[in-house]
Amino acid sequence: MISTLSSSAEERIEKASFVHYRETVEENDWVLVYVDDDNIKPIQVKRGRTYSMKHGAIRHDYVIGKRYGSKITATAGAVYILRPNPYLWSKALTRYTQILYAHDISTIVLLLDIKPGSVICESGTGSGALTHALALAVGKTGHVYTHELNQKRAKAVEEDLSNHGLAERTTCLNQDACVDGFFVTNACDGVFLDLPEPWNAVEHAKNALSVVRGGRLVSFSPCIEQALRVVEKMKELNFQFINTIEVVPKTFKVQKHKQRNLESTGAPEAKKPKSDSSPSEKQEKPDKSASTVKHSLIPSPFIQPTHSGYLTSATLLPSYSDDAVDSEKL
Amino acid sequence: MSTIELNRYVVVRKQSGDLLRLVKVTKGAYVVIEKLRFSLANAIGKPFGLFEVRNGEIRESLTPQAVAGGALLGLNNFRPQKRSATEETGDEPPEKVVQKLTEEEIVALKEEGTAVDHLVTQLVEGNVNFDKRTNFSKEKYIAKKQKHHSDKVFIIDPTLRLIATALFRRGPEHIAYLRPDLLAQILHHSALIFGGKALVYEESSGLIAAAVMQRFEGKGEMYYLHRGVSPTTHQALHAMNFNPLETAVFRPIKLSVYLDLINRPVDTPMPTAESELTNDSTTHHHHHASDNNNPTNSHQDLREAEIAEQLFWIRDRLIDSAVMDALILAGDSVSVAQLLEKTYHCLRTSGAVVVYANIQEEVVQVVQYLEKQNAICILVQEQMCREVQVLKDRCHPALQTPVSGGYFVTAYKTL
Repeated sequence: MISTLSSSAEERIEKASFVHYRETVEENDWVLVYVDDDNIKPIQVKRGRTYSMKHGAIRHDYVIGKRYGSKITATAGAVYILRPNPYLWSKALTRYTQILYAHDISTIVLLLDIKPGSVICESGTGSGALTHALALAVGKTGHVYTHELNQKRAKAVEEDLSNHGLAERTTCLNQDACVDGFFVTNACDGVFLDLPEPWNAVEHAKNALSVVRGGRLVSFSPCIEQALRVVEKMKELNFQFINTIEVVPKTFKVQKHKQRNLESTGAPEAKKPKSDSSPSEKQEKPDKSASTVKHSLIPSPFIQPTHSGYLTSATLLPSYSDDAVDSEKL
Repeated sequence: MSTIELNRYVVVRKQSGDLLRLVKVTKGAYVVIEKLRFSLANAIGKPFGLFEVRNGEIRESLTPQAVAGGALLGLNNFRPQKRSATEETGDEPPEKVVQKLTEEEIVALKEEGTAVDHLVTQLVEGNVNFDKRTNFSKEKYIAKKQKHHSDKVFIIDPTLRLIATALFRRGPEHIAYLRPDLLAQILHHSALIFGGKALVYEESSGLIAAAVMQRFEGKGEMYYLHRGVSPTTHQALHAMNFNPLETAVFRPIKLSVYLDLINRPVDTPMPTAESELTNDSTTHHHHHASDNNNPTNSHQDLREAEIAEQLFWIRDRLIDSAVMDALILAGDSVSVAQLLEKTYHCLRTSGAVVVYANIQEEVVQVVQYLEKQNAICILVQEQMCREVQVLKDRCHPALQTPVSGGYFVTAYKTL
């Protein structure tokens, strides 16, 4: 059985998780049940349990031993069992707060310059969507310290991370980063802020970053006024390369168009509804004399998110002045 | 503490500019950036950071604290001492700019080793109409002069983000318009981790390979379909300064060799040696003899593999097995839709497909193929990444933004 872990016996007994991919589902695995694109639910597979959803009920026993990606038939339809990853997880999770979407999460990971071994501080934790992505990116030897004001949320995300095999590389804290700062000082390679008043945390962020290695600071704010105050604070505290961007995605579907061929003198075929988006071309026998079929990418849905927030990023350069603390070894 | 080393890449940027230059540090390396030309020789062995450049050479290493917070020095630093505060005369720019300092005098001042601040003060004094400008206009003038004559540069350790940004700005058409935020999405959706397995095809100078290789942390297998791997065609991969432990995951397979095997009729026996390949796919395997003798040459770990090894990898992992955690196909010079059809079988169920292309027809075909295969969570997306100017009383999105960028399609394979 091909696994992402080494062949050592100790690692085999670990349950499948975000950091251990296996072929088949085993008891205690956390899996994602795909009902449809908008309904993806996390469940922990346990013998004797049943999962009920709109297509019917599924017994967990039936899922155990099945390959990830398998189709499971229920009374009124079918579902798929998927291996979780940060993207699918963020589609599935319980939203305690407005979550960050994939286009922001992925950009944040890039802006923080995360690589395996990085130490990252995050505040606030929110629903943990970004935390999972950060945890994956820092790798086996990195660490994520995530700070959340709301105790219930902090505990919930801590539990999620533990279920997903990410407990060793994350620490969830119930603390107000704006007031008390971060859990570590002079230690991080990157700090991420998703707070109502992030300018109050910029100085704490600077203290959290490693003096000798320097690091990156990224802040996410829905309003430009917030971004302005963060930028001004960053300038005041000697951050370099301050830059603000926003990422705006657009999703599409494939639309089939049946066009009347203007060269032809034959009568056009009986009208089919124009918004026919049936994907398969196989049923269509192209009638060369009367019509042609073309496909295009049409933005779908009609109304889409066009603003989530501004991403402000900056660098704290390594410092080599005489009073630099020399305790951090690279 | 990281230092600038020979035969490794660095990123260079002027203090008051935002252009990035990706440069390999060699003894004779010269950097040309926004009209500033200088040699890197004196930077070797120094820690990364801010440097002063004078007369084409690196002089001192400057700490960030030494340069007034890195921001442009205020207006008062340039006001000549004799003059008193000037009056505002309105917003019209002067009709005719008269500069008393000649071109030759400017060059002479620079060659003497004059600091840029002093030079700009001279320019301000020499400008007849300077006092007639509004304060805002004066600030703009000073900023412009300083930027033009600036001789302080940052030399930075490359990161995936910096390399992606440098390559995109330099020539997006050479990397299939793969903007950094799109690269980030591809990496995110592939969900690759330590010990993972991936099949990758790209035309972006090795950016995607670099991102995947970094994630693997030295354990895993990246089967990299290519049409030639060299430091010129894969600058991003080399610029990451990977060590041999990290590059161990790299398994480059010539696309023609892969296609030769995959297109064979079912009953034909699998070749095990180069001689058994058809004429079309016979590769010219260049032995980099000089590389073997040079232990510091990073090319060694990222060069093309022996044919026998490629054949082994294909037979072992890419023909009858489905063990790839992710399939990443990106580019426009081959049909990624066709390539997807020829590689989909390698992907394990619940594995991620990530396809990137600028050609809409390709994207349509990819989606149609995935639907036929009953893939789920099919997502087709493009995105805009806009810069925003954030300055007090002057916040607005940038007037112009690089808008090039392709589509990406992601989906998950089902049984």
